[in-house]
Amino acid sequence: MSALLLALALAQAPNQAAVSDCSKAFADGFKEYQRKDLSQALIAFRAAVQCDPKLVDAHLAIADIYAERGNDGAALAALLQALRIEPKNVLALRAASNLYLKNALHNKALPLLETLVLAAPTSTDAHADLAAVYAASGNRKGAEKEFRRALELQADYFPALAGLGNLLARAGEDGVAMPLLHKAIRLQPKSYEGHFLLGSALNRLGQFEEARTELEEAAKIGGENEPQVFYQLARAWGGLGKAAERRAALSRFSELTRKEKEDTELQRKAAAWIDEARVLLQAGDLEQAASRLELAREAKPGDATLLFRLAGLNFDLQRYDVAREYVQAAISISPATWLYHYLLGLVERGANHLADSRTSLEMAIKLQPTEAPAFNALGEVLLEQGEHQAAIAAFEKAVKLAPGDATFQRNLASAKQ
Amino acid sequence: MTVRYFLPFWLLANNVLTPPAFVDATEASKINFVFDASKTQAKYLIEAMGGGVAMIDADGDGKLDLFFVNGAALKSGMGAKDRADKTAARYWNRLYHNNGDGTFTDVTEKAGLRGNGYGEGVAVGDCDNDGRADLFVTSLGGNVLYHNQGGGLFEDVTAKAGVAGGGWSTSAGFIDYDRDGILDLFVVRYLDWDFGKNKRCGGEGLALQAYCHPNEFPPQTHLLYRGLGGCRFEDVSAKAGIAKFPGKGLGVAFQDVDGDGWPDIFVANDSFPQQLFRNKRDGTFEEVALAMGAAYDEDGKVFAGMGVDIADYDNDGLPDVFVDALANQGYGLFRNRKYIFEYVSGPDGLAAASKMHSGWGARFFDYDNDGWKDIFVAQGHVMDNIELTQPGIRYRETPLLLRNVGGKFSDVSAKSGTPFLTGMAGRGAAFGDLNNDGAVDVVVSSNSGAPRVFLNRATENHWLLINTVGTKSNRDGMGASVRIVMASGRQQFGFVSTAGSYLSAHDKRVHFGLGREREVKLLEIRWPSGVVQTWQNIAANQIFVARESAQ
Repeated sequence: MSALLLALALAQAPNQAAVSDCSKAFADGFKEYQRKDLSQALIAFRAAVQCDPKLVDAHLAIADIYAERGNDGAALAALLQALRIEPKNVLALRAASNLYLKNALHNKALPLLETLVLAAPTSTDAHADLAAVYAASGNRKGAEKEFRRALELQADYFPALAGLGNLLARAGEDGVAMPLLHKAIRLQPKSYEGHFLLGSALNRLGQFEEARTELEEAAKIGGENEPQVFYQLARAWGGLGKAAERRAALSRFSELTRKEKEDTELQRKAAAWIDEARVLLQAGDLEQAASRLELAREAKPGDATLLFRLAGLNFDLQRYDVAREYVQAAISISPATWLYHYLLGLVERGANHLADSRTSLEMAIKLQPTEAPAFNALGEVLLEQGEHQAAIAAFEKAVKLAPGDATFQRNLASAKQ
Repeated sequence: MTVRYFLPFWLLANNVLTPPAFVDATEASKINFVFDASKTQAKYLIEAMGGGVAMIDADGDGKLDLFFVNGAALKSGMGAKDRADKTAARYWNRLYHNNGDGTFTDVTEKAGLRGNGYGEGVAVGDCDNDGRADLFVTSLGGNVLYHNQGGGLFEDVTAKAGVAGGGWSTSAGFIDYDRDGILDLFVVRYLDWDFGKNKRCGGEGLALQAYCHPNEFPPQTHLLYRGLGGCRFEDVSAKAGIAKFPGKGLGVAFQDVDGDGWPDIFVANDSFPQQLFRNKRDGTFEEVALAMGAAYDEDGKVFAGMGVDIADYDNDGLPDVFVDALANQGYGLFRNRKYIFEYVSGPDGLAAASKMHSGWGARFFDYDNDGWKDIFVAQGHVMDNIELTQPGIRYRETPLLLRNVGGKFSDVSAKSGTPFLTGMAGRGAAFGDLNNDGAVDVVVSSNSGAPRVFLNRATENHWLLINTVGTKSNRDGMGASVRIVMASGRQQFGFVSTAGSYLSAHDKRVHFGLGREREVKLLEIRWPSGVVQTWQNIAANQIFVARESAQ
């Protein structure tokens, strides 16, 4: 995704003198990004899209930062927002399809890639990616056509050479496939994928000695943690009648797949613990709910929502130090989520850290100026700090946003007295 | 210059241009069964999985009757201890008597086979060696063994037999794993799931709610019961080493895959490595699927194994394995190369034919009697709303018929008759000769729908059906290895078992297509008892009763 922002930079650089507030917010974000302060950049970009929801580049920039932080869901949401505004935006199509492919959501990537090759017909990688998705979904004809189109555009494009070679080898068209795979390796001799695909094809042809050589090379130059390399290597050793070597390769394969299995199992358990926590919470057993969520957090340490839930539970249990730790961790993952700052504001207020509470609530309001509870909480903190006029202004805002809320009205009336 | 291509004579005899066709005989059969999945808004995974079908000669009249497993009433919000209600007649399992004229009559109530619980699969075998086929029905929460008392009457002997099990059982099969002359029972289990553990899966809103992926639930151990005689069993799952290897099992098939004379067990697992339990000949098993090359697909990836069968499709004397899978994965054909399996779906034509399909009940069988075992697959996606999220994939699919031409498969479904024109949510599939005409027929069950009876009209080629009768071995002869040698010198191999496919049980008799050959020169049977028996010069086109000799 970093190429995305680079492209944006090129596109936006001449416009930095733009006069509107929205453009200014975007330019601020860009400056922060250049300073590598991604949190501030994100806040500025969010301000830009609040100012002008149709600012496609700001949505793209937000997506870029989220993707860089590993929050693919939020990145995709921003990209899809950009595509709602500009359905043929090449950057958004490219980035969104990449994220879908990264998460093995081929069906979702497919329509984006089909639009992308129409919007950018000379994009070699778009054709190659579309071909790969076609191949994965059984559309062999489509895959071959798109791989060939990519090679027409760029005859030495490695992914297309390797992809087409692999596709044809699997279909038994070895005469055409093998030269393509050999050419791919000549282009990128240090890419394990090329050696792996050639080794697999040679296995299929029963050329086990040659397959072994290629697969051992693949294992040496980057495929050492790829289970499929060792699976194919075991096949080659088996073909050569070397039982001990086959067993060793299978053992390595098992070791690598066991890790994958354990991760899957851990994710399943985490989901179960979250479900249990929900039930316990509904039954009012906050302590047990928190302990289940804690177990889930160990399995999913980068899940901001889970951290937020844990913070909320500990806030309810008046464990402010623990709550602070969790919500700050959530904010570090997703700094532009107003709710996290709002909760941090409540936590700090609970801990009687009024200045910190105020800072957090102001940040929440900056990110989401339409949330009455944030204004109300800020009003309460300001009141405790003795800033009556500012408190009244905050309560008035809360009442304006949620005119039917009796608490906000009562707070406003009380502050005015 | 004229070029002449000399083909082996058996290929010339194959009617390559006009393969024999099946006819859909469902309506004529008068079978009015409907599998009632009792679909709910909760989308319990079990709703999508059933049910099984068995071909069983329940009354011993020499004609195969049909038994269908049914669901039971479900409702949203069921808890861990809730049991599905099978009281209403629409949920009963059903036995249909074969009238011998193409029609069947519902004899469920007389037979005493209504059942209980949410049914899944069925197994057939003579558990007390009295010459009558007994019936084992799996379901969620507990299984049932019915002892055949003769005259088409059955008695629930589960408690006495000790085979109720528990959890979510799917396929099952009778096997004499210790070769003691008494049938044992293997029961596959799927997931550690009950109604209380159900989850909401899929997209937002009711329309996109989906059945959960099996990754959402832990695996479950399978069950092995050792037969003690008189339809009584002992649970030896732990002692035999089976319980050490939980899986997410849906299908099971038995064969002697390593040629040591002892039957092994293959379990098709859903999104979990396939399992091959090698019989260690001492009452225990070791799991060797990875070591023997049959645990994963060609790329070392897990796939959604559902239906399974084992047979020697390339006539080289080594049994091969077929496991079907979900759309976008391709079905797995594992060729046995001297006891190491090689995934050959690509070169042998299966990958291309199956990539977009989802397979369940399946079997190697020689539909055109040309001497090469073909493959039939009952198909249909697991998700009834799959078309909303994956428009290229269908929930209801036509079955797949793959013709074996000299060891390579080609899709001949489109030209093989009316059964291959109408889509269904195919699940179980049982194979056997319903009308004793030497052509193997197929009955396919449907999830939330009526089953279909596909009669095979193959008439051109010759055939032999072998009905084994054990004396020292178990009465069914289950586990016997059968070899035939024809006048041309060609050999074919078979194995006596009613298991295989998905949730279903087949005709016990071993079927061979003989092409144009009118005689089997040599028939050799290796009985589970160790007796090796041969017969010579057996005429084609008959049901040959092979009775085990005393030694």
